Amino acid sequence: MFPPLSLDEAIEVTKIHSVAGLLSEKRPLVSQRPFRAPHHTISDVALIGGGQWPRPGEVSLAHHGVLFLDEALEFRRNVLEALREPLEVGKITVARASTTITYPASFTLALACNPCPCGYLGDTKKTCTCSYRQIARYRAKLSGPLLDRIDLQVEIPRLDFSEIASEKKEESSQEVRERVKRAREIQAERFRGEKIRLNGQMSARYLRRFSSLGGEAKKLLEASMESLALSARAYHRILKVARTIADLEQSETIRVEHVAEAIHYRSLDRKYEEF
Amino acid sequence: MEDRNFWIAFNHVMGIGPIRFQKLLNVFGDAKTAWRAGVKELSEIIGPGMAQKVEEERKKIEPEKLRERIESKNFKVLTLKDDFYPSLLRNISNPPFLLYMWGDFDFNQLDLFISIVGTRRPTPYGRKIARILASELAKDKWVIVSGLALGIDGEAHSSVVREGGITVGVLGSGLEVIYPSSHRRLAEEIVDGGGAIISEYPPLCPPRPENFPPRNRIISGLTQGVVVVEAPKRSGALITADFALEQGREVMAVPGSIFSPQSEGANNLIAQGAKLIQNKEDILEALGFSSGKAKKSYGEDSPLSGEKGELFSFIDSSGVFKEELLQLTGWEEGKFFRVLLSLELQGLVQESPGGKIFRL
Repeated sequence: MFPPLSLDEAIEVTKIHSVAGLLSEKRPLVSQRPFRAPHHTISDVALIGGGQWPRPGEVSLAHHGVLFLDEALEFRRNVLEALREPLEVGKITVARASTTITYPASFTLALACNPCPCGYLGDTKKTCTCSYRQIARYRAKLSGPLLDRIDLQVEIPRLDFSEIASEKKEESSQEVRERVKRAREIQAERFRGEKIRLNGQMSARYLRRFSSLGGEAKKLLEASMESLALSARAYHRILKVARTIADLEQSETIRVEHVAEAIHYRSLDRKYEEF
Repeated sequence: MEDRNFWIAFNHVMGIGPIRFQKLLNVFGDAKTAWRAGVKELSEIIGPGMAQKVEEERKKIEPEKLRERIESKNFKVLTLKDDFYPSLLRNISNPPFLLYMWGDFDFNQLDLFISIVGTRRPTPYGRKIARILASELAKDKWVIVSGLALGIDGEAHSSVVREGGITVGVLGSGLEVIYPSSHRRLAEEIVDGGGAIISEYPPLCPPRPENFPPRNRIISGLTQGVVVVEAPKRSGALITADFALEQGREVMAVPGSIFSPQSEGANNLIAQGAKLIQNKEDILEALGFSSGKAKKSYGEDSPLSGEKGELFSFIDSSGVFKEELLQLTGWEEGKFFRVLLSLELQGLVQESPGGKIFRL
């Protein structure tokens, strides 16, 4: 569903893979967006890069592509924390005695994890056997600064209503890709002459310029912040996501619907009562 | 009463419960004499194993020191011989011979006691019921007794505290080992509000699993009746209900959806003859108080119309997944999220971990 790599991007990606010694004669140019899915036993050095002569890590190999961490909460804490810098600035600097090297590391991060240690919290078929304390400890691993940087949070239940689902015609990946492409074009137009290219890179100043809300949408967001006990950090994230949802629908203004949908992607930010 | 020290001492010997202690009192007349009796004499009454245990413990325990320590913590000791021992509890078949109390509360100054108990993992529906019933009963000057556990118990206690009422928490651990520890603050608020935290276990006793079923006999024993709010098939709340029945106290339960496992136990109780509770007035009636007032009905004909009403009609108290709801309505996502959010903001529905939407 990602737009294809541009030539410039392809060359950048190829350079990194070349340094890592991952190119073959058969595949001298990387023309597909990379998809990296390291195992959860990975070390922080392998993730961000390092060695005596620092080689690029998984975050750089995923540059312009996707870094997917399955069972995200099984990764060691320092490994997850190491993701903060590249997520913030899109590159990673590795310092060693011999040299200091900065590799690009601008990727889309995808994390997957169970809702609780046993995996059955909220399940329709099986009862969860975890204690409140276990669940709290488990979820705390993901909270804080890392969660700050995750835009879309979705809970996916066991699929046992597939009969209902199959009745509705789903949008094909092809159609989605077209919409993404158009949304990217809108963003390219919006940020022409600016230092950024994508909604996700907007700072507070850009948000005020490009992502301001109409009266009703603003009221809705403010009411939600309060009564759903959303954290303050969620506010800017919601604005960015709402802007993107509007772009995907080719809507110039951000409507109430867009804000409402964006709010629903912050489910882990809500301060739940004990459960 | 110097003998108190020895009551406390016996309470610190694991395995000496109300029955064995009563046997000792019957033979020796008082606790002090029993404490100093020979192993042989003891073993005739409580068996050789238990006598050996007493023998070991009394080498380590200094009764006078125990009492001083308890006093230094500002805990009170209520023995069966005391006038201020809770009179309702005295009437059960095996009342604790000794209770530790944290708080300044006199059970026998008040006469309206009721317990609200339920699962440690309630749905939003159960929480809401516990909240409503506890605060309305507290307004009517009822003392609410519960187990300080997570979930329904905690919700009942904290609702009373908010209402400025009196509530009593009965522990399955010692007073110095508040369990769960996250309820420490709540325990303090209960005490500050004029209520009490009580336990029949020594102050440093850990929350042993086997402590909890006997603890439940105290919860029901302290009250005129037990209201079970959400209990699954196997639940401590059902044990409390069994004790209530045995003790001749009223058993009441709030029904729930047949699709909700958290209500299975409560629904079964009703099937077996527990009073079905739909509001505070039902509780008062079951306990023989006729309020004369009209019963409050919480059921509302959906006050919503149009798209909100349509979406609301698909949501029940046992929870529906967002994706499923989206399919049921057949709406576009934008409209769906907008209407769902407005229901949430009105406090009519709530999203829970796992992605389910519950009717409140």
